[in-house]
Amino acid sequence: MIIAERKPLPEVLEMLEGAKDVLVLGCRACTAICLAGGEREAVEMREALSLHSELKGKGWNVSALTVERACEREFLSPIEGHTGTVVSMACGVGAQVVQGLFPSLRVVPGVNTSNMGAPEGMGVFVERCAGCGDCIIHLTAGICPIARCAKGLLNGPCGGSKGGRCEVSPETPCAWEQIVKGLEAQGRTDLLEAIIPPRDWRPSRSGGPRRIVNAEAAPGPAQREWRGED
Amino acid sequence: MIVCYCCARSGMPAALRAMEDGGLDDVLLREVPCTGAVEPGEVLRSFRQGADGVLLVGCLLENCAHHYGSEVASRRAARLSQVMSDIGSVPGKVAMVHLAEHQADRFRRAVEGVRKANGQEEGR
Amino acid sequence: MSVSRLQGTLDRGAIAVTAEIGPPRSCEVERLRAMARALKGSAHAFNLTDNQAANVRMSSIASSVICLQEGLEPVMQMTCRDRNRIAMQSDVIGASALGIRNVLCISGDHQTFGSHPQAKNVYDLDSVQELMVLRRLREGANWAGETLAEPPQLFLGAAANPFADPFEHRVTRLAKKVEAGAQFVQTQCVLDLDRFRRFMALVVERGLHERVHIIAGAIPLRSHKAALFMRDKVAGMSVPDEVIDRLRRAADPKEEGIRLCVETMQELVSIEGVHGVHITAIAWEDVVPRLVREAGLTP
Repeated sequence: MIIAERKPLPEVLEMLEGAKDVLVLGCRACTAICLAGGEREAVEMREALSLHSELKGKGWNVSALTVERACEREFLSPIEGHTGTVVSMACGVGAQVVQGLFPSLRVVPGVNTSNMGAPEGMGVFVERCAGCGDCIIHLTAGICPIARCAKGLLNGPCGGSKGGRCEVSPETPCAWEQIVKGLEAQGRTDLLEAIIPPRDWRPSRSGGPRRIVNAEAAPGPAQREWRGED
Repeated sequence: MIVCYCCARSGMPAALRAMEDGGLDDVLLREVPCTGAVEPGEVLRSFRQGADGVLLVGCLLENCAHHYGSEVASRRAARLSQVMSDIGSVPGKVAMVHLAEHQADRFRRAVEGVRKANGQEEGR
Repeated sequence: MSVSRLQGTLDRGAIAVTAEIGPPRSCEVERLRAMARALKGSAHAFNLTDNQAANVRMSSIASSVICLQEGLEPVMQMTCRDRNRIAMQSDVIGASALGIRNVLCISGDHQTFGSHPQAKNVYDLDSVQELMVLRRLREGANWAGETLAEPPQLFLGAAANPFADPFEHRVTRLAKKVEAGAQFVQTQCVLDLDRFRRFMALVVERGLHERVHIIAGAIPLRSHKAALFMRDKVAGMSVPDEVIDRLRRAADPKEEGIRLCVETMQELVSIEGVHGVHITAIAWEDVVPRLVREAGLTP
């Protein structure tokens, strides 16, 4: 899932200078799960913004709304009719989808979207996938070195790996130590000997913003006509 | 008015005992099963509804009837104090006190702390 | 056919000595020249580090050229942190055109260690892949397959750290580097001789010592505090308690540190598979000639 964190409140307050109508938009998907922007967080944001407006005479008219998934237009009709500024508590994807569908609104980010990861335990979320577009975790015991090695190395650990920890932070496990142990456990140490050659980074963000078309699903002429999309 | 969310096990008994001794006319008690269940949005909402302060009154950290609800509430209260500061209000207007059911004095002192924070805002 | 003095020395079976020079932080060319002159003759080749510890310094390629001008043979270092494959190939072709022959391919310390932790890192290639790419250049083509009319002349090296974890895997990693094109390897400073001997035994068992020249690292420590710093603050270092104690008990720690280093150097060259010594005397470069002389290794 996508992991995000609440933005520091002072940053959000600054973004809202001069605003009038303010809609706090929560999302029930990823940002709800990582406790950054679900209904509870959206309600709290509404209260904080309203209180600030009252205390400082900002004249903001603040409301809150939480949708199923902010990145899909099917769920966004409740936004229709709103005016002014939207403080998005959805991830950066949802924020931009909303902005794209409602150009007359000004969407500002209420969260900092960080990475693709998973809960490690309560309230702790760890990065797992770098979205490189060409997955090779079958070679590395199901552990992604691009996302989980600080240097994204593909041929084993660097000289800074000590005690199973990354040189960058003692909180970070050395991904390659984990991969070595994982491959040993899977009886696939042959994969440790094989060299992974220089990577083609084109499928990653490095190659440009990605647009993926599912050929079977994307409508053809008949379907587009029926949908009135021409 | 200082709204006190008091947990059933420790908060309410201590608060009620303190109320009996008087001098707490500005205190409004609200019983909750556990302070861990108090919603952050509700704490902030209280201010727009006329509250001058919000006090969470829960069990001692090692003795929560729900094991760790009091501990969660403690972290939440700390964060909400920071929110109060961020929005230009006084952080001490949101506070938490941990006590045992007989510790009426501790409750009273916590209320005094919130009153003082309120005074800081008005004093400006 | 050797392309450099370092390669020639190693290939004919002699013990090679290399030493490290930290380039200046600014355009202090005269300081670098002075250091080069002071060190000349004390080693077969001198490593010029590449923004070591992610601190901005004069580039390895520029410092290497200045050393060449002073009559020293450089070992240019190139990390994977700051350059993509386009820049690496370009810089190596340029380096060779300027007379640089020895190139050390390393991952590089993460930028969070240095003065510019905010920088975006590159890591387009890792050190194994860097070796593959540079070897292909030497063989006459760039990584896109375009033929080079005049390929660079290169003697390629890599780093090895027998003191990082996981221990058993370090030999596999070395084997990969050899497979990818490493012709010489400089190891992390050896203070823990036992662990290093165990590593070399595994290397020899695998026959790697016959395919790559291993140059063992040595470092003079000025005090037990320096030893503690190495142990606690430097990634991938193993410092035995005996070393720390010896320095702490010494009446003249600096002299003891020099004596310890000389002893270590002599031990290292006696280990099967070790073909040279690499001295890193950070901020103490002027002690290098004495260390080499007292160890009996003057080129």
